[in-house]
Amino acid sequence: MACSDLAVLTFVASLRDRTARGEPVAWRLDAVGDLDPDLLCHLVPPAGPCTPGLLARWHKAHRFGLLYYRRGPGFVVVYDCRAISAADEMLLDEPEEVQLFERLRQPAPLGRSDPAAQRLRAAKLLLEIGGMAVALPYRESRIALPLDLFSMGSSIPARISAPPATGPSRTVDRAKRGRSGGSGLQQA
Amino acid sequence: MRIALVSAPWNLLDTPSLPLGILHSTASRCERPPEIEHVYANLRWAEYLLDVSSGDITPADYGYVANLGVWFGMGDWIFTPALYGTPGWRRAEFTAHLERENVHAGRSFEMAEHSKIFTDLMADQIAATSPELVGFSSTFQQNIASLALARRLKQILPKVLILFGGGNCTGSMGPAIHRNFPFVDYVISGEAEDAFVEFVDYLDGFRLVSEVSGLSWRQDDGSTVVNKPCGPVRMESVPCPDFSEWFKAFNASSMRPFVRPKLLYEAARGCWWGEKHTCTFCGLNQLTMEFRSRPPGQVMSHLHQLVSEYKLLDIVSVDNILDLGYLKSLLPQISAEDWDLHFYYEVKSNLQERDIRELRRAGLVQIQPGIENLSSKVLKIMDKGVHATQNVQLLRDCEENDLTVDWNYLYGFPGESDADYDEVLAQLPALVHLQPPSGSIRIILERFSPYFVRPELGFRDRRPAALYRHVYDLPAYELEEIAYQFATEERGIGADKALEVNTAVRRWRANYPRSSLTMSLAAEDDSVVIVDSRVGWPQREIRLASGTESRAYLTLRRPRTVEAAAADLGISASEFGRLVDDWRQRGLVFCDGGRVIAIVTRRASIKIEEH
Repeated sequence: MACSDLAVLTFVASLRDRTARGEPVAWRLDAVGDLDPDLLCHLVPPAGPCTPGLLARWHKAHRFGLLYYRRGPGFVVVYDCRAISAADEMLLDEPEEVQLFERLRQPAPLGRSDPAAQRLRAAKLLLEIGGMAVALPYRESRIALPLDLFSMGSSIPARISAPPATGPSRTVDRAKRGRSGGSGLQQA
Repeated sequence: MRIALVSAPWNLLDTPSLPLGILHSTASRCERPPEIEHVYANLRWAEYLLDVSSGDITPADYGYVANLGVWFGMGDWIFTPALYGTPGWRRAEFTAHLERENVHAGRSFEMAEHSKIFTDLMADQIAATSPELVGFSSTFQQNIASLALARRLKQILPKVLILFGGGNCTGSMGPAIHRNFPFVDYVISGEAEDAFVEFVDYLDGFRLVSEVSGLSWRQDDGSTVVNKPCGPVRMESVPCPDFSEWFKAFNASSMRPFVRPKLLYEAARGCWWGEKHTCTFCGLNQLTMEFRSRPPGQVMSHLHQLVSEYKLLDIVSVDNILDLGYLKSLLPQISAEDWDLHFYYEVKSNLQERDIRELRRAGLVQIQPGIENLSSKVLKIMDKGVHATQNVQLLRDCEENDLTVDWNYLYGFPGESDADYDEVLAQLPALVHLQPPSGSIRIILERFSPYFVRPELGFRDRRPAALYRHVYDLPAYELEEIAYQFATEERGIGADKALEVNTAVRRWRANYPRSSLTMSLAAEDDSVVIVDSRVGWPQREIRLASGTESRAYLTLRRPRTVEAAAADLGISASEFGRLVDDWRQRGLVFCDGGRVIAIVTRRASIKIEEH
């Protein structure tokens, strides 16, 4: 693998982690190559100069929280709201898959036939160049506000609209099924 | 013994039933442990609606009724045709009530057309398993659906025993259900972990009926006898809930693609603040205010078990208030696991900045702190035990640390005045970068609250809320016993001032997503540099003078009186007061009740609607 390929993957890993921390990143994409903005649109987009079409697509698609993961005991849940995603949520709980996913936090060699990589590859969670790969989802760090744990469907933040005027505290109290009676509130 | 435990509509679709999960685990303590079948009639109802409407009545429609309907008797009314056997039962009254309240009915009318057939089908399915006892855990809008199902079951299986329990059976409400619905054989009032075991032991001949705590039962003459309730249950003795039956049902349900499941967990009961000073409007803790919490080690063991087994990271705590001891015991242990949990938790709002960071590290990312109001005088009236500047400090610190804050602006407290609101309204535009309330609402009277128990506090004239008239076919004196919400005369501010508050809150909500107010320290001289990007304010950079002015502003990171802050800095109160006046004009501080708090955040939050 050429040194420049490793540099690209290393940069993407860094961009991924800085995106997770909500840091502003000023960077330029001088050569488009095979880079696919639909794959990378969860990362802070580049400033110009760049082909207008690609740049515009990236900027239009990008928002915080498009592709990230959360870690639990022995498993990882990937949340993917990119246009190319096959599913909003993907559970990785096979030990080999989880290990590979963790290993690919940093660029590392990855064989084409590695069985643990099949689902990650199919879900477009990897950037692969010249026999090396890096995992694309960032680990949750910053959380966009407001979060709504009580959203019945997907609670991926970017898809949540503002809570209704009647208020999440009512929803919250509705979840308190065991003993409680209510929140004592009445709509104005 | 074969027991069916039922979670009726309108339990939420995305969480297991905590009572069923706990009772399932508890039943192993019975002298002769029963066979328990779980019936998630709430899931079945949502499935049925989706199916019978060819996909037109969706889980979101169910959610609308389940969440909003509790305040208007919506979900209960939908099942009245099944309970009373009359299609369109009191439909005109229901419609008029919603019109008066200016609330949309959602799909209530279509749903009501299906409730009787569904109830009959559900009863047939339960009856097919030949249970000897069917238990209903009823909270909020589960009463009428549960009663309808119980009534039908008794028609099909006259010998089946019907047991009710849950929040709707606390205090006088349980015996009232027992008195008025003869097909309900028994009701347990109060915490039921021990009482349920005692009850099963009674049915199996190991106890007398009089030995079952909190049980309502019938004598030969048909009259209701109510046993003495049990005392507060020790939390250590409450087992980890077994949610396996719910997950089996949920994963097989047509609701699965629509709903993201969450775990429920209960680490504590009661309210440590309420033990001393119950918030005057709050009826949540009912008759058992005594605060009890699980040992941190037990919570960790349960969390390991639940998170590992169900592979879910979203957890809704049902505790009424976070045990403050957990800040130093449980939360660091959770943080050390390096999991990315999202916990919902209710807390008291006087948390310090370091406490907020501790919550964030442990994954307590959505909190309900009971802010309620931003006037210290009104907070004092409600016996909240916090100063308004502490509430604003919490909003600021949560904004910095990515914690979502759920709160409503409450008004209508006896003794409050327009002036209490004018003082705050004048300052709300400065807070636009902090999380707004969901809405502004007048309090209602809840059973068990101090305002209910002590009419002399201001609500002397009360009657069951109007919603009960389209839910129960009972005389007024029985409604008095079965109701939880009560209508009263309006107290505190009038409609005009309430409208002003409402308008200001709406403006706050509209402008929040595009507002930020952040500060940093200049590298060269440690002066405070503020970037103001709030809607409604000049977009600018404000640099406070290095030295006294910057230090004075940083002193106000926590609420201070002008005099105390000035003394700390070694300057005169009048000089400090002039600085505060200037900052207030520029919207950099919030002042109330003699204290001042700096409102600039040290880090901009990421706001969803920006994108």
